[in-house]
Amino acid sequence: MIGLNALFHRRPEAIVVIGAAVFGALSFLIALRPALDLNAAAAARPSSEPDAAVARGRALYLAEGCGYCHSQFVRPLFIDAAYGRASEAADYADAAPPLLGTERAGPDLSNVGIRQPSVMWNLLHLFNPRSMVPESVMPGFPWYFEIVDRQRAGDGAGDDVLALPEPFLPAGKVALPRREALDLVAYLQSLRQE
Amino acid sequence: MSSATINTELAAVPATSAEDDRATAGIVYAYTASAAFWLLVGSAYGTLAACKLVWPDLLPFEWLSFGRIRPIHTASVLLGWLSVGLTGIAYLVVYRTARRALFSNALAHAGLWLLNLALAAGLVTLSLGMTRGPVEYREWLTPIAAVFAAGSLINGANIFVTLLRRRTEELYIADWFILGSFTWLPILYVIGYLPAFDRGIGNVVIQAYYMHVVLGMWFTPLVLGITYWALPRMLHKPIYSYALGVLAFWANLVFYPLIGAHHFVFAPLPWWLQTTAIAIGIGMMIPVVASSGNFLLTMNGSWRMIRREPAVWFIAVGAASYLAASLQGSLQAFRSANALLHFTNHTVGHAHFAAYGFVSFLLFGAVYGLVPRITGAQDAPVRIRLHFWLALGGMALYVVAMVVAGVLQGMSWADGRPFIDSVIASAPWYAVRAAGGGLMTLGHVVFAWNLWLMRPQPRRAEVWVSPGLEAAR
Repeated sequence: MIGLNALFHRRPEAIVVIGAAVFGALSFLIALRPALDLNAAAAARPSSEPDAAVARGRALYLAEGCGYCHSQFVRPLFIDAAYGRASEAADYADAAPPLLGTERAGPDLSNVGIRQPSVMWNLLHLFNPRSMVPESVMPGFPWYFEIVDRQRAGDGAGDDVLALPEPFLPAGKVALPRREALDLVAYLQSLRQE
Repeated sequence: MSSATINTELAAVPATSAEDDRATAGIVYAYTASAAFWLLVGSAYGTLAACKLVWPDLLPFEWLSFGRIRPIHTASVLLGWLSVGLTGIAYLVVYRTARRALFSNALAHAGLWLLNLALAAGLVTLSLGMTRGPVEYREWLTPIAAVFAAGSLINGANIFVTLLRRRTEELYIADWFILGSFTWLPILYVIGYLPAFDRGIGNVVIQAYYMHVVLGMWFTPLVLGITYWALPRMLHKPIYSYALGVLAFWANLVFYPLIGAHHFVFAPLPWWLQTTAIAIGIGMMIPVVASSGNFLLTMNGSWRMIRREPAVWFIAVGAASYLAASLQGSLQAFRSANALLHFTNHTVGHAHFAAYGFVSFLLFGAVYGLVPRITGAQDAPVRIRLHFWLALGGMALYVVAMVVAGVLQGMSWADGRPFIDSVIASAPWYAVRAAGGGLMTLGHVVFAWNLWLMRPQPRRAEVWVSPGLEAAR
């Protein structure tokens, strides 16, 4: 052992080589090999034909960092029972990256497509969450909407016209969703873990 | 080692010149100043994010949206403040322990440019929503991460060659930790960015590994190494137990890589992977107690002196936080606790307790304790005290608020109440957290001011080196 002690106290290359070898071997055993095995074993669920709007919506979901506060990971625990069945490896087989998440400042969204099926509710909630849930701390995404005069939008009668009172919108104005808002809603509607 | 032997060694070994001192002071100061800049940036983003959870419609701009500024906050404080600051002080420790000029001063400056370039590019791209997704601490696009990795590789190589050419006979334990950190970072960074694991459940295994191992095999050993050098210097006495440092080095290497999966307990990952992570988390108490106990026992007997040295206060809090935060993390991983506390703010509190109370406090202490010795400019202790109390008060508010909010959230969910109840229960604690973050940010302004006063003083550095050492060269 004296020899080893002297080796590490005299030779920086010994620290680097042994350190890298031990760390590399442990990394292989605990991370690389399980990751390879799991990806090989997990068969993707037969999914419906890929939807361009859903894919664009998912990209926006990533860009806006929604996954920092919303998990998509239901644990096999009674605490998570309200979110539906527990998540399985196959649920994530196609996901790049999978969005299990580590925090629930907002609720889990694995099943939000079933829980919240209304497109208009989702649009209003994205425009300003406080309009639907007064105590919500979620950011609004007004940049995915266009604010126009009520008259120009046909007196607020169209399917996609967001008519909100003050303080959410100035009097006489309505919000029209841009394509991004509709894409995000399409993605949220696609989240169904049945 | 008695002071007599230190003096003999100093006389026997040709010392570095005043010119080397000036060059190294320039490098160390450039790194710490950059680190302080990123600390201010990261604190501003962090405080804004905390305020947005209190006033969600504050500053409703795309590039300041919560989901975009959160990764900017973590990248700025972890990769900016901590990585850059720790690297700068590591250069100083290596310079002192090798008793030799750095292999290349130009490479040290080049390394800093690359790190800063990556950090600036990361800030801009994340503001624009260009990200690899909410995969913590590896959100940067691959080319930006590659620039950061190149900077770290250059620094690691520079440090390695300097230690190869050292004038001292033995390699001090601080250098073990520093060499290890610069060896492990490139390995885990490459694994974190391997395109083979971009999709599927395998990505989760890599994410768990990466997000935890970057803390345990980069920040932890680097800051421990620096403290193994800084604390004895500041107290003018040897470390309590050199052997405990050796034990901590090997135990950290064997245990830490294995515990990442505790971030995804109950996920569809193999049960053995989760159980290994949870069980080895208890094994982690060996290196944690070895190092934190070592630091606190080194301080023991010097409390009267420490009362007058606020720089050491930071190290005392850092060592105690290392112990407490590690214990908290290991217990939080137990399945019974994890079922209730996972997904809650308790985790956020733990992360700040570790990254701030432990790593940042030790770095603050090392900067105050070591930088004046090479720049030749001392700061007034009164402002170090001010920084200390702001940082400690802010951290205490922050961690307590998040732990309480986390328990309330977990209990609300376990009761099966509507989700919004957990948001309402957290609301007052979000306000306390924002106040704590504000105090920490104020402390960082004082720190930046202090650092400016410690800038290199060319005239005094000449007076500083004793003529005897110059002659011995």
